[in-house]
Amino acid sequence: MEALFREALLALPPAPLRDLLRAGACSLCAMRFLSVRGRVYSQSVPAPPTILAEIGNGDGLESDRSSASCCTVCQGILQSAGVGLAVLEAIQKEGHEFCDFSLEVTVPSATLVRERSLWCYLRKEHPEDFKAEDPNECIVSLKEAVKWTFGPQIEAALGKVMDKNSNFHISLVFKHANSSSEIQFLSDLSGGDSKRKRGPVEAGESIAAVQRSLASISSDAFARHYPCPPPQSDTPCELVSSCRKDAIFVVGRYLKYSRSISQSPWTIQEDRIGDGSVQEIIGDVIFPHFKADSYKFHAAGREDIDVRMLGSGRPFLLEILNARTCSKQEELLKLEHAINSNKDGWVKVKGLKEAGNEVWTVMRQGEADKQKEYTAVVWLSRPVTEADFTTLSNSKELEIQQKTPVRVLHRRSPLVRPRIIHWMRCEALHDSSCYFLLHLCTQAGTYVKEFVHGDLGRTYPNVGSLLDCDAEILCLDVTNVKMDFL
Amino acid sequence: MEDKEEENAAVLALYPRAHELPARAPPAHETNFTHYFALDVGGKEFHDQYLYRHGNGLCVVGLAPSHLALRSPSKIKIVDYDVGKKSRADMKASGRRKKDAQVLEENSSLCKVSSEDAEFLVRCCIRGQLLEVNERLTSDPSLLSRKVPSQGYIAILMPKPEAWKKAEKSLLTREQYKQQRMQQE
Repeated sequence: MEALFREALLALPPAPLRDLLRAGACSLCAMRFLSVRGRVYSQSVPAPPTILAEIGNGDGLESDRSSASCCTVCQGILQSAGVGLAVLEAIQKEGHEFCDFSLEVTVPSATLVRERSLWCYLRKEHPEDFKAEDPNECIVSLKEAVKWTFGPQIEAALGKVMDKNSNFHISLVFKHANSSSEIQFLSDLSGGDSKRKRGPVEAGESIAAVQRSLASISSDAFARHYPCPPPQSDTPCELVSSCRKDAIFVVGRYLKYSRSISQSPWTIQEDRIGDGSVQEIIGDVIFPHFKADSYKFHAAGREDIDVRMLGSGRPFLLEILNARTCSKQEELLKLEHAINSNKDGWVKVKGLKEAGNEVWTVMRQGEADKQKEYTAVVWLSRPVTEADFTTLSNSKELEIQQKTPVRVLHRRSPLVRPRIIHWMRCEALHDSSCYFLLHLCTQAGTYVKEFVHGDLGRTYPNVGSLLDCDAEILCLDVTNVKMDFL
Repeated sequence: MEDKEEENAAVLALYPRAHELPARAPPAHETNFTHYFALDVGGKEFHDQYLYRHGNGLCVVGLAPSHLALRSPSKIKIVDYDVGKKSRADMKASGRRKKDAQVLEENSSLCKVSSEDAEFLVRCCIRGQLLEVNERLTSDPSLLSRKVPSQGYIAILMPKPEAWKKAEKSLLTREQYKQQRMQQE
């Protein structure tokens, strides 16, 4: 018997330990019930008969289940063999690259019931030592024990360290076929008022629901409906192990030079609109590199399909789900170069790099406060004059009222939204009499096209009303999305 | 400093030259909408109306250039959205789903246009939810004749796809409208 275990054994009260083992608990579950913690779980621990021989079998044997093959509480979970290998196989099948891992454990709901049952028995036999009604206050949880028991084994098999903050999660799911029938009495007892969950772990009640039910039942009521100590279990639990990586974030800024590319794929009744999308052009290059399950494209705002995105570009982030490979900055630089060398040249990318969970706060920051700069080619129904330029450039912090533009009125609330045009600057356009370039800076959420053509007079004031003529917008570009972005 | 100038020059190079620009920029109400016309609405001769349909299905309704009210010498004095039980201007549609928007029929009246010597009733021409009326017409009725195709619109309706299919059958395209009405020019 190993030294660490012997030490722990000597510290335990022999009478309760004896009763636990004879009731059918395995050695590790007995230790759990007696609040033993730590490294000793991963050591090779002797079977109940050996321990009983050591501490003395006691007398008054009604039934001795200590030689049963399967623990009546954990139903073989803590005795699982080859866990390290099973995990290794699961990971190799997926082909994950990772530096450390965290363990997530799921056990059958019936375990909670069996723990409660054994606890009730223990309290009956030793009322002075075990006072609490709820075993969860005193005993070591099975999930924790699983991590202690198998953690070192898995670390050895993978050659990596277990760290609860890791972005790579290994999941150990223990299932037992009889679990749902065993807990059936609980929902019958509580009159079936617990909500039926959709797609629960084991076609029955979830752990949380069982926990709630148990918390509301007194020990006496419990003992009337379920045998204490728990009945023998003939079949051990089965283990299914899987793994997944937390989402990886690739961020950057994009520029859009085409007037026929939407930001994300746009389909109307099975017809694709436009020549492609920013999302696909960027995603198709970056996504394959990570060998992941899927990706999501998020950007800080968007522009119309016929509007170019110039200047410093628009911040975007690619959320990559369950990537198998880790990336390095040099590789991302190559991907950036690959996107920028695309022969079509419709989309370019800047500052591609990996970022952590802070991206969400950065993207959302001051969405409403941000100012945007645009350049529009404007046409007037009469020749352009210097006076026009002066009128517009003298206009600072101009407040306009925009009714919901007709082009989005079908899917947005009909409201009047006040917006501010911070400044305007005009530029003559290449010897044209009726056209000029309008540079402007507006509050976030301003519909610029509608500010130019007036949207049937529903945006007021508008360029036409300011210059006392009709104005139309030929084309629009976003020239600056001001944002401190990583 | 030089970088900024270079940037500016590069930016300007991104924009069209004068000869590449169309002489007249197509107006927004032509590029974004398909124009349809209804002649002799309500059985009254020359009560012609337009119905501009946006790509998203919304319909903007107004008086067509050939409407009697626009061709008579007497000016339009009043546009009144009160057409009997309720004033159409009182409607309130709220939220994305346009809750409480009134559903009007093809021949429901939208408003009364009065000139010095005549009164004209404007009808929907399509069944749909009334989203908006042009209240500017109440204070400035001259918009109806000054800005016929744009700011002089009367109302915005949201028809269901089936309602559109039905109404489309009796509407004229712009070409058909020109043929029918321009003969009188």
